[in-house]
Amino acid sequence: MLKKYRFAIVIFAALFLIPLTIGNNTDVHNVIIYMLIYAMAGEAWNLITGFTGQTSFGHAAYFGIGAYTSTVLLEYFHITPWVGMFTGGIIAAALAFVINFKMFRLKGHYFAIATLCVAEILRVLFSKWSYVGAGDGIALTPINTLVEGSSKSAWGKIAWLSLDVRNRIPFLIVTLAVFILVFILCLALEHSKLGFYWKAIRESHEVAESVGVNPRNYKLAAMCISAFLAAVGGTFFAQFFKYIDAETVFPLSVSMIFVLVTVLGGIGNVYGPIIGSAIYYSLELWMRRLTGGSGSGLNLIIFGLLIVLVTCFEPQGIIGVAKRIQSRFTRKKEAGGDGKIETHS
Amino acid sequence: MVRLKPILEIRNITKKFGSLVANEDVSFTVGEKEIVSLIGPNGAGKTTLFNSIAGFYPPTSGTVLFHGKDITGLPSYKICKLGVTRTFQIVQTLKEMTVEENIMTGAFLHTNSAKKAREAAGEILELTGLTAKKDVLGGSLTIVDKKRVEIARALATKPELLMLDECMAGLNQTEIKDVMQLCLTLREKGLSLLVVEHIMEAIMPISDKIVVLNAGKKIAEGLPKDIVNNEEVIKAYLGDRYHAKSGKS
Amino acid sequence: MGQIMINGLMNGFVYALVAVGLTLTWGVMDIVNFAHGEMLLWGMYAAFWIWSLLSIDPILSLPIVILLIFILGVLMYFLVIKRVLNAPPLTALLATFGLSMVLKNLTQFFWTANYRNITNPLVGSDSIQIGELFIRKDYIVAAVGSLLLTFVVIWFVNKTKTGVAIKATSMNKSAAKLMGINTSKIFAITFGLSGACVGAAAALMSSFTPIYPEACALYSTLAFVIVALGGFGNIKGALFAGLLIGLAEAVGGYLIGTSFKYLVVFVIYLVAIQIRPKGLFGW
Repeated sequence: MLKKYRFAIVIFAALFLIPLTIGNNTDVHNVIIYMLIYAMAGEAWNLITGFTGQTSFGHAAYFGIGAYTSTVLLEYFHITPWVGMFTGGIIAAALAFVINFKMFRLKGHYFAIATLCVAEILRVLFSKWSYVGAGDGIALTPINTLVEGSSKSAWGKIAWLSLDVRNRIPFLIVTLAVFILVFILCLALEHSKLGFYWKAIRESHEVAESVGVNPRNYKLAAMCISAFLAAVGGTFFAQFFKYIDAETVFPLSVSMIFVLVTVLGGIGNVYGPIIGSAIYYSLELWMRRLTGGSGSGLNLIIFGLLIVLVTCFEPQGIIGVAKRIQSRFTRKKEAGGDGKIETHS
Repeated sequence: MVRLKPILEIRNITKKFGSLVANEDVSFTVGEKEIVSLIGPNGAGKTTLFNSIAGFYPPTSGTVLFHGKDITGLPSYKICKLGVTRTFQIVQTLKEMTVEENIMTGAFLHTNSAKKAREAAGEILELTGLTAKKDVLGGSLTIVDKKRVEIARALATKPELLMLDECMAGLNQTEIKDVMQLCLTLREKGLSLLVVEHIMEAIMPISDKIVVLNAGKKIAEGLPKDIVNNEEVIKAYLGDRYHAKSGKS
Repeated sequence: MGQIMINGLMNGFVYALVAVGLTLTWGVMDIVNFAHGEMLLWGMYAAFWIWSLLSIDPILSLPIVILLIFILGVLMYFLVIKRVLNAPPLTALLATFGLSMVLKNLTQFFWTANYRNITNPLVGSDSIQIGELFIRKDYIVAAVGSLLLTFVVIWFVNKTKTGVAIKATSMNKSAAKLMGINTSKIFAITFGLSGACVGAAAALMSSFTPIYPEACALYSTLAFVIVALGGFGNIKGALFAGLLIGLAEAVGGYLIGTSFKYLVVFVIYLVAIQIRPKGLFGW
């Protein structure tokens, strides 16, 4: 079992080591945190689109719900983001259930555009809803101030419980730990009955039905779990960014990041989002440093070009390269074997 | 041949697509541990009838009874849960999943545990002779193996009635023999089979009963040896002019 | 109210032309082109610079802009899209997203994020009066121009040999190939044609729309919804859906406030798609 997941173990070990080895490099820490948050949301998106084959262009809806729920609970009710995270997740899952109950009879792009519309509707509503600050959004009060003002919030003094971003290393490690949980959950789901049924639905509705699967129920399950996880990502985003408004959490461009990191890494593969996210954000950091991070947009031009190049020459995503290298190794080892394509998972 | 009590009863099934009548008033039964074959020339409405029974679409009128229970128009996943599983004429292998995973997908009908599903799949792999290929992706299989996987995946749902839609088309003699043997083995194991098939020499020796469709209607039903001599059937297959000349299977 | 509906309709014609461009690539090639809005953007900058440097009014430079963006589309196809056609689903989307980043940020890199306006265009913003309604002249020209060009595209696809080949390819790629259609050439033309549509829309809009790198983000989102509402690959569907969305946006904005006008658009899609799951004009 350990051998099977050695790839994952190596990646996470590397991630744990990075903050320790580079000490106080805030820039790099930030990149790693972003990377983990978007990888989390990417894993969520991967469940419904990569595994179940239902393209969502609107996962920002659930990401945003997570961000807003935990923030409102923290700011208005002084409830720890840990609770907010779960509350947000449950609200997102419930919303996903209600919205998609009827929506799943739509096929392909019609469904994708419907998800986009849902996110856009939330974006407009939240940008006008005065309870959540309307267009001004909500800036998160530093936890210290909150704690002093309220006796209820003794948890605020403990960095681990408060998710206070100013304790950057603890925050990073907590984010990483939660990401690992999400990752393990997705890995377990992939190898469970749900995962098999999801993939069967992705490959062929008819086959799925013929072996006793009610596609709608399993698609709904995928969507609800996916929404929950996206909301967890949203909570971390809000805690990290310290400020949210409708334009930072709900727009199409946010949904697209989840799509991008996953497709870049390898869609339909649990390793895809984290690999894609790692490459996406390290490239971005690299470009920013290379071009001095001016407002000229040069870094984004080069970055965009790199994305285009990767997709043109490695359409399977980075995981495609990894698989090829891996299969070359295995072929060497079992020389004369029957040259299996799938060597892992 | 002893008449056993039927597990599947088709009563007066009619299926229309607009003004086109694909099946008209077809009735027959499938008994326990029986291999019933549905034959007929191209366009006779075999696959349509098959789809109506399997819940792919509801028949326009008529009833399908399984163990006496009305299953007419139920969605196919419900019909499968009751114990009737079908294969597809145009093979639908789950491309991005390995052979073993394809079969496990079927096996999950009776268990929530991946371990048990894998064990169940193992038995079926053995039975269908796919063990050596269990790690090959469905998309990279040859057509023969895809057909095997198609049957294996259906078998993994442990049906009482297995419905095979032209699973021998495109196979060579040896492969057809394999499938025939498999059908007989399955009957031994207690399954009933409803088979849509074109290849007469494969179907005649193994069938307990043959139902012949032509132009949407049932024109004959009976033992294989009776069917091959049935005037009506020969006419349907060969046209009026030739029926006098033929008369063997 | 009549006034509002007229303005909405005028907008709708332009939306329709942009959506027609998108439905061509999406419907025919099954490529979700996220750089569609950026093609529109480049069209607007092209119109602007032709006006600014060569003093040619956008109305007159229309054919030049159409040609330029047609070439941009063909180039995009040969340099990028062609390579990802047979890749796993959504890979092409990733590529077009990369392209959109490049195209958008190039405009910022070259011409900064400043707003640019074409001043004193040939067709001004003064209105003509029809009965009780006032209609701005530049809107009329944009609307009529868009409508005419949409009809040209419809004519092209239905009546010319290339157009029929495009249609055939959209129905079945491999069959079209077997029939001797050079699908690669057809795809290139489709992408070019898609570019020509947005190029035309850009030139028509440029006289009354501020031009800056983010100017077209909204147009592309709306175009996605319009294309889906009309039915993928359905050009007439895109035209009607475009008009409907323009109208709904204007009336909705009037009834429940401008800030909610896009809400109406998205709600309309969600409702309509429940009734017609393959778009209003889908088959």
